[in-house]
Amino acid sequence: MSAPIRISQDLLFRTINDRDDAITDYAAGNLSPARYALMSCAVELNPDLAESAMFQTELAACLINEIRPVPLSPLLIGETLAKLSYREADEVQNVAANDHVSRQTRVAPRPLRDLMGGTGLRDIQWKSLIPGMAIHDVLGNRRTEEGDRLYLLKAKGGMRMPEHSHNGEEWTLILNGAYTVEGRTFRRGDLHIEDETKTHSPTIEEGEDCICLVMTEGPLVMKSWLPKLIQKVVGI
Amino acid sequence: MTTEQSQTKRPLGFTPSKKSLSAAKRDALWLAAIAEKQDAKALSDLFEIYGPKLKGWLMARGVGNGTAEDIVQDVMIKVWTKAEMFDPAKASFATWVYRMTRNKWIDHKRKHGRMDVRDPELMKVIADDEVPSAEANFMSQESTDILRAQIALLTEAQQMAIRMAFIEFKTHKQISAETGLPLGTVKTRIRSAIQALKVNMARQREKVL
Repeated sequence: MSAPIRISQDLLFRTINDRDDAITDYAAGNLSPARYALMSCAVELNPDLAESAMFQTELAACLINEIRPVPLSPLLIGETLAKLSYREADEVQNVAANDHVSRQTRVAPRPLRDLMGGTGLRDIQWKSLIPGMAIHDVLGNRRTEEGDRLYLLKAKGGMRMPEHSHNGEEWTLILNGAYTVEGRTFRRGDLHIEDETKTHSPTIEEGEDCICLVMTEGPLVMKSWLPKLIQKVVGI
Repeated sequence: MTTEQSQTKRPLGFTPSKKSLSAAKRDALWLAAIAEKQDAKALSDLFEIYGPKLKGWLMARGVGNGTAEDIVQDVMIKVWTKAEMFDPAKASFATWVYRMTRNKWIDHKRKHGRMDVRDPELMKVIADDEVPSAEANFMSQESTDILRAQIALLTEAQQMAIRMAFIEFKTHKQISAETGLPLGTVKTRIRSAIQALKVNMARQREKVL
């Protein structure tokens, strides 16, 4: 007897703008730390993305066998064994059960909280950008080696973001609230990737604040003078 | 037609090899021995098999010998402390340990590729060694071996694209630049290869059940 196998119509999760390569590069380990962190969070929030990422991770693990193995130094295993810590026989392993329960309900996904030293979104310091908009750097204030930067962006419900384009790619993961751009609405768990060719000006949905995790490659290109000025000061 | 070929045409179709099944079971038993009895010999055995592969992966990415061994050591210590979290129904050990190594490698890049390294205590590993629930039950133990066989059935062009992404660690843009193929073609090729693998994997599992 064969159990029914669920094969969905579209077997691969499609990112907006047909950017499945982001999932492949995530699985293969080809992403910069900022992009990798953003994808780790996206996988946590988005089951379709998680499924696709898992399959490709399995593929990557399988393809390790095609790479020439390199013998270990003779003492490495022994040294490692000497470093192991042992627990008492009656010590109960405490797998953080409450973390599991709260995973879906907390705004910040676990990989993000880990990056912020365990801090949740409630406790962070926001830097005001323009009225109604604030940012918080996640991966430092300076650029990483690849020129990628990771930060949180908070925008008030109902506002329209300043029109901007990019010198490079912009990856956005929506953590809270929603925004619409060119008739498309993005919500919690959606991954929105824009390249350098587009100028856009998202509108935040009425109601709660929209909080996003954003990776930008190169500075944003603001269209009007006020954001340009503030950009100089805040430095995104 | 040789006997071997005709065997693969049997109505039952796919039969996992005894060897691969026992490798997966063997790993699961070692993990259980670590989790339940803190069996250091089991860790040492896993280390001997997977250590050189993981080190090879890291060094193929350009990591130096010493750093590669440091990362592998960290990963194996994590296997030791997290063994009870390993669930053979969710992923194979090969996948589990690969994910840990990938995380440690990116973590290493993050710590050493920037100017402003913050308190190392705060810069913890992005720990995704737990398999999120959405990924549960997707891959059974013997899947890795089936997958390997399925890759061999892809077209040559698909295999090359997959290899460049996963073995030569090239982004789609780099593959496009190197092969002279348009970016769209590279995307389509990799996407179709992964989709074909996914469909075939689902079929194979259906046959096994």
